[in-house]
Amino acid sequence: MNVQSQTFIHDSAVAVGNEKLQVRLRVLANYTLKRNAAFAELKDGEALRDQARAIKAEAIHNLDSYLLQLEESVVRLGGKVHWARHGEDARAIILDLARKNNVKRIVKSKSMVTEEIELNEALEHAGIEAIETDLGEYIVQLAHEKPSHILAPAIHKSKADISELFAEKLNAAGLKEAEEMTVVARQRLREKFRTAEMGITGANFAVAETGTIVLVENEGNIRLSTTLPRIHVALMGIEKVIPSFDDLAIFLKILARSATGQKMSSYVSFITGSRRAGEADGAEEFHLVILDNGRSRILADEEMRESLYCLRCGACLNVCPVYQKIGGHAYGSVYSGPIGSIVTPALAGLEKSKDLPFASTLCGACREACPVRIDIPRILLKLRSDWSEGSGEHKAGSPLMERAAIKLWAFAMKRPLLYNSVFRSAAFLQRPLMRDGKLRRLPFAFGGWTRNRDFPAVARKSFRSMWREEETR
Amino acid sequence: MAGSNAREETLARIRRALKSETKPEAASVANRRSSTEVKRDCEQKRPALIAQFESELTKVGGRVHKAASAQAALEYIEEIASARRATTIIGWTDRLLNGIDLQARLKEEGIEFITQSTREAFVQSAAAAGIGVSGVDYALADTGTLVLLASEGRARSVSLLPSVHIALIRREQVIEGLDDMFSLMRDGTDRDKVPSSAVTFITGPSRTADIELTLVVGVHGPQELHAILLG
Repeated sequence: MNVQSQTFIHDSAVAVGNEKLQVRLRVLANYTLKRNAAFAELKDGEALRDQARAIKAEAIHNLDSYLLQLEESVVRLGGKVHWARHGEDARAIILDLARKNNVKRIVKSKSMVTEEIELNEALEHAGIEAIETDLGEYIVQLAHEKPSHILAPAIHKSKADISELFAEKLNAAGLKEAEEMTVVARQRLREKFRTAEMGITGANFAVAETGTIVLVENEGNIRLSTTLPRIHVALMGIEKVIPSFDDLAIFLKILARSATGQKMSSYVSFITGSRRAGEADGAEEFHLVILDNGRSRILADEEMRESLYCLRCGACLNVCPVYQKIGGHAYGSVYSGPIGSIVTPALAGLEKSKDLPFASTLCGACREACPVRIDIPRILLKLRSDWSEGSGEHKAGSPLMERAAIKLWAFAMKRPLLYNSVFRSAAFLQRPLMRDGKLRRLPFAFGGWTRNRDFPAVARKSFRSMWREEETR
Repeated sequence: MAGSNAREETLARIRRALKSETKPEAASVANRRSSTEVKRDCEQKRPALIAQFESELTKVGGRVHKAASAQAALEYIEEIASARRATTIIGWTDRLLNGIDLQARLKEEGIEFITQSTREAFVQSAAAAGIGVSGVDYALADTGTLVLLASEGRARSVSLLPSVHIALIRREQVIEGLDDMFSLMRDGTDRDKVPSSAVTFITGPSRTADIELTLVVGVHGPQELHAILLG
C-alpha cells in the first residue's frame, strides 16, 4: 500500500492552521450526536455489540475455513472467485476481466479496498474509464484528490469549492445549492450507468453460508452498479467474511447506527450470485475478488488481530479529538483516524508511518464508539512500543538519548533514596527555567518536548515528604 | 497473473497466522423464533406495527397512504401519475391490486403500464418511466423499511430507476423488524439455502449528505417513495 504518511507532522500542522478545513470539520459532532441517539433507542444495543464482536472474532479465528466455504457458495451459484495476494494481483485480475470482456467503461461504488490498491489509476492507465459514482467520491475524483473520510469523502470541500469544480469540469456554471449540484451529478452519472459494461463494488459483508455480498448505502449508486452493467465485480479484504446469513440481523442493526446515526441506511442490498433465469435485470456475471494485501500479517500478530474486526463505519474518526482537528488527508493514507493509525502501519509498514500511532491522546473515545469494541488505544500503545524499542525486522526507532533517559528513570524509580535526592536537586536546579510554576523550555536534547507544550515543574516539596509531615502532626 | 498459486499462498499464509490457536466458541446467533410463532405474534400486534411503520417511514421522508380498497389504491396511483404527468409506468408482473387489471385501467388514463412480461427491452423502458409500481415481501415496522426480493417478473429496476417509487403493501406483510424477517426468510428458503438473487432493503427515498452534510433527497435512486397500505 502506498502512503504519504512520512510528512504527517508537517501536514497535520498545516491542517490545524487551515481555517476552511476547521469549519468543515466542525460538522463531525453531528454524526456523534445522531449516533448516540440511534443507539439509545435500541433496547439491547450493548448486547448487540458484544454479539457482533463475538461473531467477528469467531470468523477471524477460522478465516481459512470460512473463506473456502464462501468460495464454494459463490461457485455453486455460477459466480467466479479470484484470490489476490496483494494489490498487484487484484489489479491484474480486474484488468484481465475488463480486457477479455472488451470493457471500456466501469462504474464504481465507494470502496476503501479499491482505494487501497489504487485500482482507478491502473484502469485509467489501461485506457479504461473508471467513474466513481458515490456523490462525494465523484467530487473527489473530479478534483483529482483523495477521500478524506470513510463516509463523507468530500467533507473537506465547501459548497463554493464544489460549485467551482462543477463549473470547470462539468461545464455547469452558477450552481449555488447542494440540490442543484446533486441534480447535475445525477444526470451525468445516469448516462454512465446506462452505458458501463462493468460495475465494481466493495463488500460490507460476505456470507460464507450463502455466498451473499452485502452492500450498505444511501444514494442508490451501488444498486445501479449491481443492476445495470453486464458484469459485477466485488472486491473484498479477507476479513469481510462472516459465517451465516442470520448474523446479518445483528450487523445491520449496528452498522448504520454507528456510521451515520440512521436506524437503517436508505438501501441495503444482499446480492447472491448473478441474475437468475427469467430475471430482467442484475449482472449476468458475478466475480468475487478476495484480497490479502498484508492482512494475514495482522492476523499473525495476536495483539493486532482484533483490528480485523473493523466494519469501516467511521465512528472512531468522528469522535477522535485528533481527527476532528486535522481531518483525513494529513494521515497520508486511505485509512485515516484512530483505526487508520493501526491499519496503515500494519499494511504499509511502521517505517513509512511511524508518527500515526503517536497521533492519539489515548483518551479512549474510539474504543467507546467502536461497534465491535476494538481496543484501539491498546493497539496504538503496542505500535508505539514496537517503534521505540524495535520489533521483528524493525530496529529501535527512538533516539539513544531518550532510551538511556528512560533506563535511568527506571533505575532511579526502584531506589527511593536515590530518587528522592535526584528530585530534591532537580527542584533546585530547575529554578532558572521556571515561569509560573511550569517549565517552558527544557534544556539540551529534551527541547523537543517543550516545543509545543509546557513541562510541569518538579514541586518544591514532594508528595512523600508532605505525607510524612501530615503523619507526624 | 494471479492463479491457483495466489489461492494456495493466501490460504497457507492465513493458516500459518492462525496456527496453534485456541479457537473461540462459535458465536450464538440472535434468538430465532419459528415462522409460525412470528406470524402469530405479528398478527396480534398488527395495528400497533402498522402505526409504527407509518411513523418511521414518514420520519425518513417516505409517504404513507392508507387505501381502504383496491379501487382507492388505483385512484391514488392515478393521482400521483397525473400530478407528475407520467405517461409510462413500470411494474411487477404480480397482480398487485386484487380484482383490478392495472394495465387496462391505466391505459384508460392514457398511461402505458409496462411489466417484464410485456416487453423484452424492459430496462430501457424502466429508464424512461417516471414511476415504478412494486409490491413488497416484507415491511419492517421498527425502521420503516420495505424489503423486496428480486425474481422473474419482479425486476430490481422498478424500485430504482424511476424518480417515483410506489410500493403496495398488504397488512399481513407488516412485521416487527429484522429478527422476524430472518425467521420468515429462513423458513421460506431453508431447503436449498439460496436467498433471492437480490434482496433489497429500502428505507425512504435515495439520499446524500456529501455536500457540506446537507441532506439532499433523490440522488441516484427515487426522489419520492410512496407506500400504499392496502385494506
